[in-house]
Parts: sequence; C-alpha cells; structure tokens
Amino acid sequence: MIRKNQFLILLIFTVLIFLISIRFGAVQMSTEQVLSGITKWVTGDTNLTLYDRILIDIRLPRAILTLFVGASLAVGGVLMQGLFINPIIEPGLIGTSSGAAFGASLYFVLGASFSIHFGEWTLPIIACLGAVLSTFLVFILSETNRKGNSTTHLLLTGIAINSLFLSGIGFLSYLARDPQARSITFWSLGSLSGANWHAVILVGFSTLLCILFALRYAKQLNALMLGTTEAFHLGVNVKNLKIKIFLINVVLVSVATAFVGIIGFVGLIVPHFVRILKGSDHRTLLIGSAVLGGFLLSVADVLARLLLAPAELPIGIVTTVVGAPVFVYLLRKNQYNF
Amino acid sequence: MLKVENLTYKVKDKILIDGITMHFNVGEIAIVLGANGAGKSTLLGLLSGQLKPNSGKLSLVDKLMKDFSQIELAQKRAVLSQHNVLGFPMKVSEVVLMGRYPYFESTASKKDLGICREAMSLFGVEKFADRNMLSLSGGEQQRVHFARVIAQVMDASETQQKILLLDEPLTFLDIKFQLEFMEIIQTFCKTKNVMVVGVLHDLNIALKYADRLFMLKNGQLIAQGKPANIITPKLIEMTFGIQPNIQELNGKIQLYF
Amino acid sequence: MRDTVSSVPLFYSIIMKKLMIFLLTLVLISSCQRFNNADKKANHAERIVLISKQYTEIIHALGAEKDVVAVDLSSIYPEKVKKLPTVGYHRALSIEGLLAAKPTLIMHDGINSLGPDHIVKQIMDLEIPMKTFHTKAKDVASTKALIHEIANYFHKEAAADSLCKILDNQINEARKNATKFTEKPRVLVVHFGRASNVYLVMSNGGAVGKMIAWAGAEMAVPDTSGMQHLSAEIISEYNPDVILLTDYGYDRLGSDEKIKELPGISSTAAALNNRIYRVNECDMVYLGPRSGAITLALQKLIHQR
Repeated sequence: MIRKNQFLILLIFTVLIFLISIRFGAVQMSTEQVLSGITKWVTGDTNLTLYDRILIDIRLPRAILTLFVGASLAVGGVLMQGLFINPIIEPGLIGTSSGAAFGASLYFVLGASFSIHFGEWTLPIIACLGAVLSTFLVFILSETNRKGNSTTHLLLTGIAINSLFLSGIGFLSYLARDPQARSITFWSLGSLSGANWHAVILVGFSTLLCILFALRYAKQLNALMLGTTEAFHLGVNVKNLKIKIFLINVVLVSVATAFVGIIGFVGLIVPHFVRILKGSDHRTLLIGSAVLGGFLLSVADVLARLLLAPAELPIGIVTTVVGAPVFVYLLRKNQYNF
Repeated sequence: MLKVENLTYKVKDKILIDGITMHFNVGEIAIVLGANGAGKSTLLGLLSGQLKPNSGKLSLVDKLMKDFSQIELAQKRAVLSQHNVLGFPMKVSEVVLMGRYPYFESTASKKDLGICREAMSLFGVEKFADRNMLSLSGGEQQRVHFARVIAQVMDASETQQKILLLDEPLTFLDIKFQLEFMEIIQTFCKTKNVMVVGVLHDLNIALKYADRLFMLKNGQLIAQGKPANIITPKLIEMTFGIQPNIQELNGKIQLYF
Repeated sequence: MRDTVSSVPLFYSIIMKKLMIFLLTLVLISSCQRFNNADKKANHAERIVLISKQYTEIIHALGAEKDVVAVDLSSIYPEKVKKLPTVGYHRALSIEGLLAAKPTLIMHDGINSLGPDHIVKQIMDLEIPMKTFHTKAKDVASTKALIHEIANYFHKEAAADSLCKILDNQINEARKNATKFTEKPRVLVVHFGRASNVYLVMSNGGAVGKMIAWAGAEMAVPDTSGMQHLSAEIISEYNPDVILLTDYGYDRLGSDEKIKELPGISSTAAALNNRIYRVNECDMVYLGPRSGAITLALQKLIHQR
C-alpha cells in the first residue's frame, strides 16, 4: 500500500510541476491568459494572441519535452547501471554524451560545408551519429579484450574515448569563430530553450518506445545484478542482453541529448533515489525513474528559467550544482537502506 | 539420469578434461574430488552448460544437453556457488523469486510463490522476506542465495529430473552451518527427484555426505564409487600427493593428515 | 560497489569543471547587476529592444531613445543605457527573457550576430517584428549614411546632420594631423589578455583598422580576417612600435611594467620604448558618431612623443 501511495504522490507532484512550468516564465502571464491559451490550443482556435503563442509554441512544448528528456536520461542511467552491475555509472561515463557533443560541435563549426542537409534535423541527426559512434567504440573496444574485470575495463575504455572526443570538441572550438564557439558552449551546458513540437514528438516517441522495450528485459536485468555467471545460470543470454540494452540506451540518450545538449547527473541521481525508496526490481525501477526523472528535470528547468530571469541559466549547470554534492554524498555513504 | 560420455575439453592445446565417462542418478549426492588444477571446476562448467565440450556427449534422461535452449537448461539445473554478491538493494523475497525467473514471463504464478516460500523456510530466511537484502549479515545473505538457487530446481519430479550443481558453496561458511547446509541438501536430494553433483574442498565433509565419489587427476577420472569401496591411502596420495591415516567409524570413513 | 574506484577521478574532474563554469557564471552575473534594472517605460505603446551596441550608440546620439525599453548586455555606451533593463548577451538570448521586455520591435545589426540559432528561429516563428538597417558602416561615408538612415527612421534628420558634421570635421582634423608626422608607427591591438601566451589580436579588417589608418599609423597585423590567435613568437616577429591593450586585458595585468614582461611583447619596440597604452574595447569594434573623437584620441596616444 505504502509503495502504491509513494507512486501516486510522485505523479501528483509531477503534474504540479508541469502546471508550474507552464504558468510561470520570464514573460508575466495571468492564470486567465494561460487558461485561455490552453483552451484555444485544445479547441484548435487559430485566432491567437502573442501570449497564446508564447504558451502554445514555447512553454507547452518545453514543459512536455522536459518530462520526456528527464525520463530518457534517468532510464538511460538505470540501463547502464544494470548493464555494468555498478550503481554509479551514467551515460556520460561511457562516451555517449561526449560523442553526441562532438557530433554537435562538428555541425556548429563545419555545418555550412556539409554536402547533405536535413534542415533543422541536421543537428539532432549528427549528434545521434556521434553518440552511436562513441558508444560503440567503447562497447567494441571493451568487449574484444576481456581479460580481467570487464567492468573496470569498460570504465577505463569509457574514460579514454571520452577524453578523445572531448579533445576533438576542444579542437573544434579552437577552430571555431566566436558565434560557433558560443554555440558549442551553449550546447555542452545543456538547455531546453530549443523545445518545439517536432522535438516533443520525436523525443516522446523514442522515450516511450525505449522504456517499453526496456521493461521487457526488466527480469533479465534483475538477474544480471547477481553477476554474469549467475544470470547465465538463470537462463539469461548475457551477451545478447548487453547488445540490446546498449542499443536501447544509445537511442534513448542520444535522441534526447541531440535536442537539448548535455545534461549531467540526472541518469545518476534519479535511479539512486528510486532504489532507496523502492528497491532495485527493474520493473518498478524503470517506471519510477522515468517519472522521477521527468519531475526532477522539470524542477531544474523551472529554476533555470526563473533564477536569473529574464536571462536563463543553462540547465546542465543547475543539475550539476544540485547533483554533484548529492553524488559525492552517495559515494561517501555507499550503502542503501530502505 | 545425467550421462556423460567421453567428455573432452581443451583450451588451445591444453587438455583440461580428458575423455571422462560418468553418470549421475536422481536422489544421489555425487562429489568430485581432486587437487587444484585437476579439472573439477572445468567439469562443473561443462555440466552447467557454461563451457562447451570439444567432443563427447552430455545427456539428461535421453535428451542431449546441447539441444536444450538456454531457458530449458535453466529449468533443468541450478548452480550453487560461494560468490554471490548483490550490490543493489532488493527485498529478500524478490531475490528468492529470481530463482523462478526461468518459469514465468512477467508475473509469478501461485506455484512459483509457494515454491519460494518453501525454499525460504528450508534455509530459515522466511522471517527476512520483506527486508532489504543489504541490511542482512553476510551469512544471512548467503542463505537467501541458497534459497534462490534451490527454488530453481524445487519442482523436480520423476518425469522432470533436475540437477543441482554445488560449486564449493561452503567456502565462507562456519562449520556449524556447513553441516546444517549439507543435511538440508541431503534431505532435499532424497525427497525431491534431484541429482546433486558437487565440488567440495573439505574431504571429510565430502566423505560424510557423498553417495558416490569421483576422483580427478590431470583431467582424467582415476576412480569412482562409494566412498567405503574406493578410499585407500594410496588413492588419496595419488590424488592429493599426501598420505592420510584412515579410520572407519559407524560405516563412515574419516581421514587424518 | 566494487569496480567503482577507477571511475571516481574522472567524475570528480567533470564535477570540478562544471562547478568552475558555474562559479564563472555567478561572477559574470554578479558583475552585471543590469538584470535587475526596472522597466521605467512600462506604459509605452511602442517598445523597441536594441540588440546592437552600434545602433544603441547612434540612436542615443540622435536623441531618439524615447521608446527604447531594453538593450543587450554588450550595449554599454552611453553610460545611461546601463540603467535600462537588459535582454541578456546577444549570442545567448533566451526567448522568454526577450519577450518579457514586451518588444513591438527588435533592432539588430544582422541575424548572424544573434544566437543561439534556435532562439532566432523562435523569434521569427512568433512573428516579432525585427529591423536591420541596410547600411553597414565601413568607412566615413557609410558611417554617415547609416546615421542618416537611422535618423530618417526616427525622424531626427537635424540631429544626424550635426553628428555627421562633427564626425567629418574630426576625421579631417585627424587626417591633416597625420600628414605632419614623419613616423608611421605599426600598431598592434591586443584584444583580450592572453591564455598560455597566445594573444587574441585584432587584425586590419574592422573599425579599428580604419581608425588607426586615419590617425596616421598602420596595423601591425596586415591580415583582414578579424580576430586572430597569435603566439608569442609571431608577436615578437611583428615587432610593433605601439601596442594598444584593451581595458579587460590591461586591467587584469594591472600595469605597464607587468605587460612589458610578457613573453613575445617584452622584445618588441613598443615595450622597449614604453609605448603600450590602454584603450576601451567598445570604442574599437564599430564605427559611429564618436569615431572621429576616438581617432583623435588614438592619434594623441600613438604620436605623443
């Protein structure tokens, strides 16, 4: 009963923060203006004031995108932690984010000279390709030589590939002219300010689909927590599972990252909280992390928008400032009790 | 019945298991003995399906082991080992339920839950069912893992013969629980239609509980049979390189070094 | 929790890096209290937001600033614009931050100077009116043309005439002075401190090149491609007679003595002859009504011996 209630409370809070994030922004709006904007949106009224359009074209997609991105990053964290049987891993550690950032930087600096263009999709597509490239490099390099402890090996490979791509980004920013360099910085700090309905649909689709797929492997991920040998004894095809989880994670994280840039610590902190509250059964862990991730990222985004209004803080800074101390605390405490 | 015929396993040119033929019966505890490097763990790996033999056959009743799918295999055999570490918080009952994972898709059946309860009470951990695994002591955690593994083969029957492999599970237990554990395994083996094949370090515990012994040396089977029939100072010296004194007490053999 | 040790150093380094960025941001924010400036024109029907320091200066010089309700962070001249609400840095705009100024018109000197890109797209999608004047100020004639174009828009033609006249007079005076100098010093304009002995240097392309030429000197860096990162070796090879250091870099180093010790700079004629001077960065980067006065001042600095 208590567990059901916890989930219900979390859902109520998520709805609340969603309402707060569409109600408040740098542009002052009254509740009536917000309500009338939503009514017009729902009824498809095309006679829109500027305020309606701010609400419909800017705030609503941003609030929804935030929920999806938070869910994606948190679930990505769960999958990576489950896969490497290590609770302090997040997608940023195994190259996914730095690869995406490298792809994005490539686009910012050399984008004009690309021969193939996909309009506004170019950036997301190239960022995705970068993430896929770096993650697969880490995966393949750590798989082919598996002497000794494979988790340590994987983490070290992740560190190497991370620094490789980070120096690639460094090189590109060095080549870049001022506005391009600014775009790189902007993107590597993460921001949801680019939200639009295209992004909502694509990220939403990938988030929901990937979570559904991940849920199918929840049991196998549970078994994997006992180690690869024990998982094998319980009938899990470990190698197969690893590839599938890797694929799901890359799609999940790179699609989200492609639209919003690098947002750290969500994938690390959220699964921790859910584990403390509800334990590690992946069926509850996946769903709980998706909702809590959406909730926490929404809180962070509201802070990012309002702390310095009318300017905006990059959300990656907010999540890091909150996340880093929590992470250090968890590292020191190093024990779960519930 | 689990039949092993002419089993050979090589890594590069090194022969680790050299043409072994043996069989195991339901209701019987079989213990494999041998010095370090004799091939005990390799043999267990082959029996569990984790290692693939280079030649030879393994068959359960009349079906070849290699024809089982991974899930079917998981429904036929379970492996108890000493290195069970869970770094994540989980309820004890959830951990034990993992033993039934090969049997259900998304939700556990009543039968699965019943089996889990039975397994937990077998090892005296049912009182912990709702506790966080990580809040238990090392010994208590180990018993939860035993319950989980036993749950995996609990529903063996005459038509559904199952195998329980012991991979030195006693290593980190104190002596009282070592004996308790072997008693539980013995009863379990006799009452359910399970064959137990194990690798144990302690020779005297092996002699006390084994129905049959298999002596390995350099990947070859050098002797097999009931302990009373085969154990001689010469065989022990051949296998382990030291000479024991042998005493017989109430039909059980004891070794002194 | 085994196997975690190796990941810890990287994690800490990432944390440290991000914390540094955060602290830098905090410093930047606290150094510009302009975010909190109150909107004192809340009742104006016409609301203009200026995202161009050049336009800001010209519009104020024309006395046409009545409906200007907010400016970007780089607009710092004249002094009184610092009291206006700001919409943030022109390349790091936030859409709601911009709209919070309730603009009826946004003036900027070209899409390329606005950012990030997706914000520009959002402004366009919301159909917020934007205005860019056609004329680009590249020399005296086009600077005057830009002043006139802006003046026509705001109906301040008379003010434009007098601004242009002053500009003409000052530039002519500077050119006349220039003919008297026997020396034509080679001037290096160092824009922005230095990192690891690499100097960000202004080249001959922009406004600064024009003003240096009018003042009767020439740019030490002949290249016309904007800002350049130059190593200490190249600086000493250029061997400028005069070095102008912009305010930010100069103030960080603190004194002429410290600057003269810098690798690369220490061996130049400028350092040997004590010809290193401080200039305001914002005066150097665009042409406007004050360019004549600035040229005269530069002339005085450069030729003061």
